[in-house]
Amino acid sequence: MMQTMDKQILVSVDKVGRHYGALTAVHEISFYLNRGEVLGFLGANGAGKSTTMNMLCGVLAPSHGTITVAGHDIVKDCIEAKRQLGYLPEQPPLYRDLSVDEYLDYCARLRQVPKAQRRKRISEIKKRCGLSEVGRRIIGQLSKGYQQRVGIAQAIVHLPALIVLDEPTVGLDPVQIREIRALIRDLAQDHGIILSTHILPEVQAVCDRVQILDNGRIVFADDIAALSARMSAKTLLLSVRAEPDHNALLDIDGVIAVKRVGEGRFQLEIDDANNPAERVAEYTVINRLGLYELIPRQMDLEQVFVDITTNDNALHPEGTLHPEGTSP
Amino acid sequence: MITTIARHELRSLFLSPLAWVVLALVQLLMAYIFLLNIDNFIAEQDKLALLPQVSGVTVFVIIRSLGNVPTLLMVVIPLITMRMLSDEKRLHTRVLLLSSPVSMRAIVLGKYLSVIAFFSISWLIIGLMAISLNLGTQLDIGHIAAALLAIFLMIMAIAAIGLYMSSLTAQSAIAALATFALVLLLWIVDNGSKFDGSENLLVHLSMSHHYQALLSGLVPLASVMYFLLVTAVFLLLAVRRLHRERVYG
Repeated sequence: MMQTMDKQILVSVDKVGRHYGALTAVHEISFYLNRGEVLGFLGANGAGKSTTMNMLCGVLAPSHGTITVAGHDIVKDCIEAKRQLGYLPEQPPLYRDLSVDEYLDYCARLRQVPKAQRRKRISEIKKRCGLSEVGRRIIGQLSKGYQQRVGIAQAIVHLPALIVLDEPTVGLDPVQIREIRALIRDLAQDHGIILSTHILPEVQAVCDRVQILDNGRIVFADDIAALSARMSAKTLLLSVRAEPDHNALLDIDGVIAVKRVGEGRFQLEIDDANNPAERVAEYTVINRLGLYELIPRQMDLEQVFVDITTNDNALHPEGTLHPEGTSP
Repeated sequence: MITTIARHELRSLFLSPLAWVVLALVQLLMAYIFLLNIDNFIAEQDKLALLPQVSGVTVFVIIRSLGNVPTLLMVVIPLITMRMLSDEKRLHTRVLLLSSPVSMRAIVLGKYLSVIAFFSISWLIIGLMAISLNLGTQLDIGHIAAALLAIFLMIMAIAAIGLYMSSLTAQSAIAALATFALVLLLWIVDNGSKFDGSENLLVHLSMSHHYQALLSGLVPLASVMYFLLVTAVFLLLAVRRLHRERVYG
């Protein structure tokens, strides 16, 4: 399989699906993760992100397909595979009655950190996650931000090759979000990370590659640059008092497509290299259409996301693993 | 791994007031029952001496007192086991165990061991209480040992049932109630059949039958095996349940 071809592949997911009774949460999906790479999982709530993460970490067994982590099958060879991974689920698995030190000690034992290294490792991890000051505090009394950090500390205490983080910044304030993102970037230097989120800028901030999940299928898979390229497809928003001729607009040099979005309002898709804004203005003035708005728009990530997840014929750029995985 | 989990469970148990209250109440009730029986014995001593067959302190005080232990265990063990697996589900902490390199068997056995260790404290104190009478009189130590073995086996069986029930639900109260109901059913299952005097299947299924057999001072292998079998079956069912949850849950 893949990992024999390339030693760098840390996780490979091959045609994995998952049903809950009659409900199919994840259809056949396939993807991979290289060592030292951050892969972002984007998707609306209920798109199948958490199910996928749970399967990756052996919490749920896949209904079909195979997952290997560092060459070990997560179902058949689960103990070995789990040795290689750390997981922060959507709800951090915290024992609220324990102190941070007691909790991390338990996690380190569960994850088989050798006894001789345990104490040193825990203090290192606490430092890294900014928990040094709160070691003796009871977890249940910590703020949400600190609890989230304890959750991350728990996932990395055994220095796993793979770290899986399910919505690590949800419910945090902006300062905390920045801190957690900085921590994730720091971790990415020597761990493979899979991160799920529904916050789009987060993907841009920390990920190397992105996968968008919709209804349990991967509808987009590419690197950040490709996603940015999609975003730079520019549009002009044109608002006029009198109704212009659709075809005449399309005839203007540099206009690729015209979409009527309201009373006298048009969205013009334009050729970035040959910006027709000036010619559009000229046309409206000559024809006395009553131009009152001409706004250049760059598509932001939200639009791209909505575009990809709602568009029936979503584009599948090179590198997409499952071109057939389009939304029905 | 098993001891790591068991240690953690014991620590969590002693962080909650429930564990301390259970230990204290078991102790209090047993002490009172003991006292009542000693009181009785002193009051009836003269009459007992006239009987042709002398049943001494061992039977009259200790074995009688220990006869009450199952009722107590039936109520308190489910209170301790009810949270063991259901809370992990309800509080989402089971993901920590499931994503760690720990087998399902180790999870169940670790938790089970912690319950046994916990009730060993009560068991030891009950034992000490019985043997303390040795200071004043001659006891049949062998008979007492058989009775204490019966109690320990009973703890093992109820704890296993409790752990299984806890694996079935996220609601700990339901787990406790179901455990109590099943243990009570096993205890009384042969009640009707005693009247016709025949030994049928129900008698063999009955927990009280095997408990009484051990309490009488004999150690019938069948009775020991009964408790061990119940323990093994319910522990296996709990492991199986965790596996199923991973596949279907």
